[in-house]
Amino acid sequence: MANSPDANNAIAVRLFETVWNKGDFGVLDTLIAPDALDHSTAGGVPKTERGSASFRNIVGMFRHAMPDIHLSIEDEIYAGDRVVHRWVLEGTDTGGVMGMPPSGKRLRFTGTTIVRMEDGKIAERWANLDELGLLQQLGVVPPPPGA
Amino acid sequence: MDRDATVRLVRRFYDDLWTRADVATADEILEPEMLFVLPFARFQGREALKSLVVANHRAFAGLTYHTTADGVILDGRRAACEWRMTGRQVAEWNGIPATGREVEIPGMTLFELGASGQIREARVHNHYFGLLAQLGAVTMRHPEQDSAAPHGA
Repeated sequence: MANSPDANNAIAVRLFETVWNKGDFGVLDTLIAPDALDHSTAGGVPKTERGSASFRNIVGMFRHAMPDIHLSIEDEIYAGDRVVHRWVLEGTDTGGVMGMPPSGKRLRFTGTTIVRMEDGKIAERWANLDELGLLQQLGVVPPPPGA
Repeated sequence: MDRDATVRLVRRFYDDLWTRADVATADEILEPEMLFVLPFARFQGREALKSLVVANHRAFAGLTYHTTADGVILDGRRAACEWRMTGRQVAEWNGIPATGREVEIPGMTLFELGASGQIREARVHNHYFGLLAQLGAVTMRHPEQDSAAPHGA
């Protein structure tokens, strides 16, 4: 049975508050469908992965890099089976982002995530974040030409 | 505004304004002082947005924003839209000389509509880093890094 948009939003919010902000990976499988599709832009190339592993890997990488990580929701829109969040993620890079040496820097970047819910679980996710801003804060890419 | 009218409004922003570069559309669908926000830039007002559209069309041949009705999510006076941009860089853009390369990036935008039913604010996250990478305009300094960008969050 399809959940109400409010109930769908609560599940998407729970992923941010429980998994992202507290590192409670135990609830992942209650929030994400086993065959969920995850659309990301890893490696500069958009790609799609199936299952909860990519959710686990992405959150795990960022939580390892920034143990004090905190994701705050800035805006939310939800209707039907879709939930949209605009967020800001902040934390101190003591563990190294994406396999890079720790920068020790306080990082802050924004993103938007859209999920499609099915039977009370996240069935599909699309995310787009300010990768350029993140990489510039880390000092690994120069400002873009013309900036 | 009913749902269909709002979906049409959001799709016109991409189909008529951004893809067809019909800048007169801006006068119909945007509030005069509308705000267009990217992580790295912000544009205030219809005229600023028209200039941006024209400049991007000069740089990218066949610049197209692909949207679907299904990709528009509505909640009262707010809307979200996911899209895919394609084009070929045929002229200098943001200091990057013409490469002739085809580019394609996904993006998503949150819209806020005013009481008039026009767009008051649009906040965009696009795969801008991917666009720069596709144009060969950005490289990582870190030698051990094999993945140029993080996963989606």
